[in-house]
Amino acid sequence: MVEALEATLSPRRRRALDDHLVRCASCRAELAATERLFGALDALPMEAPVPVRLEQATLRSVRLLAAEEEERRVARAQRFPWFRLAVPALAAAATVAVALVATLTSGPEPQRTGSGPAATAAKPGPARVAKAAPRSTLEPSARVIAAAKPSPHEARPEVASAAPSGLPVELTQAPDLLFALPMLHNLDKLEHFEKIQTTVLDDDIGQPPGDADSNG
Amino acid sequence: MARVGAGEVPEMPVEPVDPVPVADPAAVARAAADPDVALMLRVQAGDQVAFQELFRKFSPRILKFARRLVGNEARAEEVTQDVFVQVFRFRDRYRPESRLSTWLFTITTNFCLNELRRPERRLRVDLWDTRGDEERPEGPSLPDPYAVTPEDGASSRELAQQIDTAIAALPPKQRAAILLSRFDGLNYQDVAAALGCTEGAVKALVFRATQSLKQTLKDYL
Repeated sequence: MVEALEATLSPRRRRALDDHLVRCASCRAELAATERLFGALDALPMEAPVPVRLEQATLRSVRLLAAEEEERRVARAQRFPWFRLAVPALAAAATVAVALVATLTSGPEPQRTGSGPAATAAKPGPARVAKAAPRSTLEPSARVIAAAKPSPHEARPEVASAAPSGLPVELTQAPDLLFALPMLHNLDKLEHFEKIQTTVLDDDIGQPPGDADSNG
Repeated sequence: MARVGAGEVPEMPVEPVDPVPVADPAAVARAAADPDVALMLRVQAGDQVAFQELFRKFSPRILKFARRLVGNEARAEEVTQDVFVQVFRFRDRYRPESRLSTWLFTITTNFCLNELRRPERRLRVDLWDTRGDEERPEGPSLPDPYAVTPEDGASSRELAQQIDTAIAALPPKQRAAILLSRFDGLNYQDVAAALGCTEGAVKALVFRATQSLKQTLKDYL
């Protein structure tokens, strides 16, 4: 019946309802009561006077919200230029890093038949450094020293030309410095050892001369 | 028939959603000619003067609707303020394909139903509800000081008061369904979207609300 009054009933069901209402007085009364109820509901006031303080409070809240949004927008706009500047810088750094890694990690090429100056120049730097200081025969620290101080017979200009430009001279001449991780561990040991030595020296220095004499 | 009570559904989302998305460009064009939609588009552009116009145009209806739904003047004012702040906060989510009033009443309904589920209200309901009626989890409405007997005559104002009292005694979802469908003229599909239930459930809610109101107001109709 509600659907019939709201005109949402399908035509077939509406006809069936009408046929039933002709025969049923109870349903006719029910439909009439529902219709009166809906009429009364529709006659109810739909609006209420809004207090001024409610309007003021709402508009104040919205103004604060708009101000917060504006602050966030400005903050984003201020951060964004930094990001825009950082992207090319990071891209350039990444390019240099990739070129550096590619240069340093490329292994020795297959043995070429030619042994002239051109073949020597084509070999990458690390292979040449490894040749100067074989890893299997030297301690890591010694290998670092050997890498940092290659033999005077090395062809320095050729190595430098194979590495990317802009690198520190030490890295250009001894790329193994970047990958000698055992060296780092040994550095820890060396520092520890130096601390022990320093402690001993400090104790000796801090001890009054007289005590040392009396002990002796 | 399965009952659809207020306590059977989770917390209503108060972040507005587009109730009935329509992809038809002609519908979009028709909606653009709607002055309410045009007003809301200005609000979306950040025009606070337009927002003030929007508030003045819709707040009387929203306040009346909220007052009937939550049954309390102070809470209805809080809900009205929250609704309009939420409208501004999520103004970008409004889609011109749907009626602005439908969008507003959907947000209002969700706020009101959440308000009715607040623990402090439940506590008060427990204190007031002496009948243990599960159908009325929000409890009976407060005594109406303006209540009149049938013998006093049924003027239109008295009838309105009696109807308001009878509506306040309905369970929240029945109340919301009958108010949305009768006062704002929402179709069942929109009411279902607002209440987060099926269209069939809305029909059942409206039917039960209608039966209850007829029974309560039989001496006045």
